[in-house]
Amino acid sequence: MLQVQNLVKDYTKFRAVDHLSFEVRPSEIVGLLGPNGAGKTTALRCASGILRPTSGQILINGNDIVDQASAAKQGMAFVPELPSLYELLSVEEHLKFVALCYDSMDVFESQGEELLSRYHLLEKRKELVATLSKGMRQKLSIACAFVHRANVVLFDEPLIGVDPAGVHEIKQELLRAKDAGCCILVSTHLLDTAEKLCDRVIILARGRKLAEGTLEELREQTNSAASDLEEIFLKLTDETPLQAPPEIQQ
Amino acid sequence: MNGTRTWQKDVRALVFLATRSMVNGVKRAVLSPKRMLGVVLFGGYCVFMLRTLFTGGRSEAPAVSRDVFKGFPFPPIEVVQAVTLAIFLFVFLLFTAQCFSPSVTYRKADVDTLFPTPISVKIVIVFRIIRDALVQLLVPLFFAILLLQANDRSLAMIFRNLPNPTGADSVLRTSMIAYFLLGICLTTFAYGVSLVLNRPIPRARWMHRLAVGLYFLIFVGLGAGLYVSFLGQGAAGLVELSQQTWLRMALFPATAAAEFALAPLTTHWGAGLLGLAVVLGVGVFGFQLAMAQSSWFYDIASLRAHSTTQARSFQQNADYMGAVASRARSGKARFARASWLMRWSPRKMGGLLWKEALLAIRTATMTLLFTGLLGVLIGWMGGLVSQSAPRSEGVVPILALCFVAFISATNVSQTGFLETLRRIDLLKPLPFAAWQTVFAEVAGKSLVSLIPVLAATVAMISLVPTMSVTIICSALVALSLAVTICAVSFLAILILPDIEDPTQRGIRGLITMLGIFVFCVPPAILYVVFSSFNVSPLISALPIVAVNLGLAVLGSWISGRLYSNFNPSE
Repeated sequence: MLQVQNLVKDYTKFRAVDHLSFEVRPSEIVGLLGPNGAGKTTALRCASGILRPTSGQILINGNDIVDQASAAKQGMAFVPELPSLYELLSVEEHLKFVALCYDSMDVFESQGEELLSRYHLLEKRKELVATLSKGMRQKLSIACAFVHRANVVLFDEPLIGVDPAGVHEIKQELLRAKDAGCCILVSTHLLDTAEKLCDRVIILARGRKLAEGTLEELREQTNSAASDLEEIFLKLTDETPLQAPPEIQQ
Repeated sequence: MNGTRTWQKDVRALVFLATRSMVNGVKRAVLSPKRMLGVVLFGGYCVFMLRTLFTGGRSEAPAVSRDVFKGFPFPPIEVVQAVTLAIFLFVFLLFTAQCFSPSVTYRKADVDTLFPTPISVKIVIVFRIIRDALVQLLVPLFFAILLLQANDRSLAMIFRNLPNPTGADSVLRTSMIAYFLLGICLTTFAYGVSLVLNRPIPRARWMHRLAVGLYFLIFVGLGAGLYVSFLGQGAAGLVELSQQTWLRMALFPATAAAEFALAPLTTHWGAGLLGLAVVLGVGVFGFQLAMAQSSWFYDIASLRAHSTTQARSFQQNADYMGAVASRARSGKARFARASWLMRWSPRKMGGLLWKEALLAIRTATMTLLFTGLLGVLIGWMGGLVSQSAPRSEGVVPILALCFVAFISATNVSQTGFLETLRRIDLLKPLPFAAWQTVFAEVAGKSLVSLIPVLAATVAMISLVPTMSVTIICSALVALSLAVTICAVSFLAILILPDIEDPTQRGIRGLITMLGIFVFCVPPAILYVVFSSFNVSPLISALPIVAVNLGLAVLGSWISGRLYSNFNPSE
């Protein structure tokens, strides 16, 4: 289970995430939606332990991401937007490296080949990552997320740069992980995908949470008869006053 | 999960990453002819090191060395101490400078792949410190081994009047140990301090400023001390300064390393061992600091990796304007607003020139400043030469001003025209003929040369006002030469237009230089002819300017044809 409580993340000159709280329960896909600069990627990077929160708490399976980083990360996988991978490792070595990091060599040995095959990477297993296309890198990054026993999976724009067949596969993978009991947090710009895929969505703007809930709950929250997520999203984000992000007091 | 995590498992994963990356890197290099040269050189270096290790680092030094040292006066111990302290002080200042900026070796792959894993951040830091220390010490190791090759008897000859001349045999070894220990300990120290100073919190920003100020003060204080001491007593003053207790205390890590290094000579083993302990203490302190601040490590490293990757990409693509724009976006640089220029609303081709002027002001401020200062310097030097050698007539002004024009025009055109190609999708749909666009681009880039040439002209006239007419005529010639150089540069870029191909980039430079040489021959011949007939500068300048501009138009016309057929997608 992923719990984010009062998360604040300040950069040198502005606040990227402002008192954000939410949780993702097992067997649930939650979408993190918002315009550019809303703080989606920063929130995910804080949750994955890459960025240290300025204040607030992030718990992964009950473990604090700052104070019990190793334990928290052991149950978590992060798939970044346009992932940068180790260029000088082969596809298979990359998968093995991630398995070594998570101490899940048994999963690598028993399921590694099947994972590579599922993402059409089996033929390229001996090739260096440097030779892969953007789409293939994305697929390898997703394969790496499932080479250990993560039950919290964070996806940052997973469908960017992937062909339609790839998009279909990734959606299937998300649903498979959901059925297996994983908590899945997906940041995306694609509202129709979020509407079809996510059980709940969180709408962010300027680092703040504007709304959270199912489509029906969002309709109630916004007092709107809007038929789809796109209209609700536009209504919510349009109503947000266009002010500069809060500045940091020096 | 397979039991609890242990540090051995973390290290195993990191070692796997490092070794596989290295092996695959070597394999890839061997298969690529372009990278092969580096592999051969590195292989040679490794063979040399192994050979040295197996032969005990000793070989017979050339017989000449002993004879050379015989002629030297023996140094007092104070001189040896001063030189050793100076060397370690240099190492100290060099390594501690890393405190202000986090290490540059982070990659985006580390951020995306390694940082979210459960590997302990402390293990990652230790691994990084060891790797960075090894990388930084590898090159000096080469020189250290070369030094070991020196004949010990020669050293004994130098140190023959010191308290323990036989200690010369060991002094190189203790110096090397001191150097490596100081290097490793200061790398660790820099890691710890940089984690404290680069935290993304307001308090750290003030601490960063304070630390930079302190470092600057040490530099200035040291420089002032050296200057005053040298001014008073010459080299003896510097030696005396090195013995000052306050200096040795203030820069104690360097003093400590020097004490240990020279212990075999001075026989002060107590002080030497204390020095060793102090150096190790600095390392331990840095390590403790790094461990205490480890939770900030990924935060700092991820921000650094992003900017480093971006900067590398701009550099690889020679995208100077992209780099400037990125600096402006991050708040590190500010654009000049140039509101006076914004108010100007030129029409048609004037719009292209307006765009060029605006871009030059906003992105080439440093270039303008640098070339302007260079212009003043060269103009001033040219003026001095003209003053002392009046028989040189107009040769010095024209050479000096053309040199200024050459420097500024080549500087601006190299990056500027690549930018033109990068934005060709914006330029081509504009309602201008190809030659018009090309000429406007050439003229726009040439405008930048106006400032340094003008600065040089003013500097020169202020020194030799009697040569004003010659200097002004030379300035006109220099400006027309700048237009020609820009035209040739654009032509060379259009002949080899692949922005990202390093091979084309190299050949393009050669073609540009060749083109400039060929285009400069006709005006140069004209100048020689006019000079030999003692034609007045005003009369000779006009045809030379006309020839230069004619050649620029010719170049632009050819470029226009290439430009109209240029397809950025090919």
